[in-house]
Amino acid sequence: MMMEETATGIPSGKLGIWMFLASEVMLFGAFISSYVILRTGSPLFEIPLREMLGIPLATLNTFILITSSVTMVLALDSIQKNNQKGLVGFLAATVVLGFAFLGIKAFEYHHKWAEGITLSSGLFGSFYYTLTGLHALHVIGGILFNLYILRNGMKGIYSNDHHERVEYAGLYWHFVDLVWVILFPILYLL
Amino acid sequence: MMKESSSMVKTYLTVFATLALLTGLTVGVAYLHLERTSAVMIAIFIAGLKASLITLFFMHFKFEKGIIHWTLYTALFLVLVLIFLVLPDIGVHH
Repeated sequence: MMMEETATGIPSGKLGIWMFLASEVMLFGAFISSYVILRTGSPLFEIPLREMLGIPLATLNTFILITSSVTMVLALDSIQKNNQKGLVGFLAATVVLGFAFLGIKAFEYHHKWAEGITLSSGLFGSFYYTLTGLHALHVIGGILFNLYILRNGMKGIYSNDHHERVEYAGLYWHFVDLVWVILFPILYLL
Repeated sequence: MMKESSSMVKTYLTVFATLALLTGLTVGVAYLHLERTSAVMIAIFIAGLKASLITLFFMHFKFEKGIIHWTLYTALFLVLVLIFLVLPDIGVHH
């Protein structure tokens, strides 16, 4: 398929997804900077005990998202080599890992709520649920996007010269991973 | 121009191993109970390194053209403004 000519030399879809990701940087940046500033400056900001934070599960979730990023990029690599089976297999693995992340997060929410860390228990609780909740919504969005690509991949729609949407889904999914890489230390380790 | 795909697989796997190693390292350091400033500096440095690796290699930012670079740099600059224009004020009042 011939690539559409654009003034920038970059496909419109790719430029569009990068613009969208830049706006996402601002969205998460606004919340994260508020968290940093209030945590640094507010005497009311109480940090729960480390034992209550569930570091082992959050570490496991970090490994899961990192692994899902590599399966996503291997899905793209497969279709660049016209390997349809590779695309479907790696995308399916990415989707499964996304669901695993959400399952662990749901378990973690339940556990934290039982420990007394709730939306209204203090500044930490508010930020914890807002930041991780917003991130989880992005994970859900990413899973839906990946499922759409997976469905098309199973129909054999993509090939080595037509796989732009696989790349766009990948960009979004890696961004979701990247946000978690930032949230993990600031919410659990510091 | 992006490298040949076969060599990219090696790059992806190397980046993955590095990310896994850095995750283990950042968790390990958190249990060392370092002095607060050092702990924050190390955690932020490792998180920045991991985020850069994901952006550069998994998102292929390293191979993209200028307009995509400047789109992201602008957003990052504005986020830094959000943080660093307010933090000095906290320093003054606490």
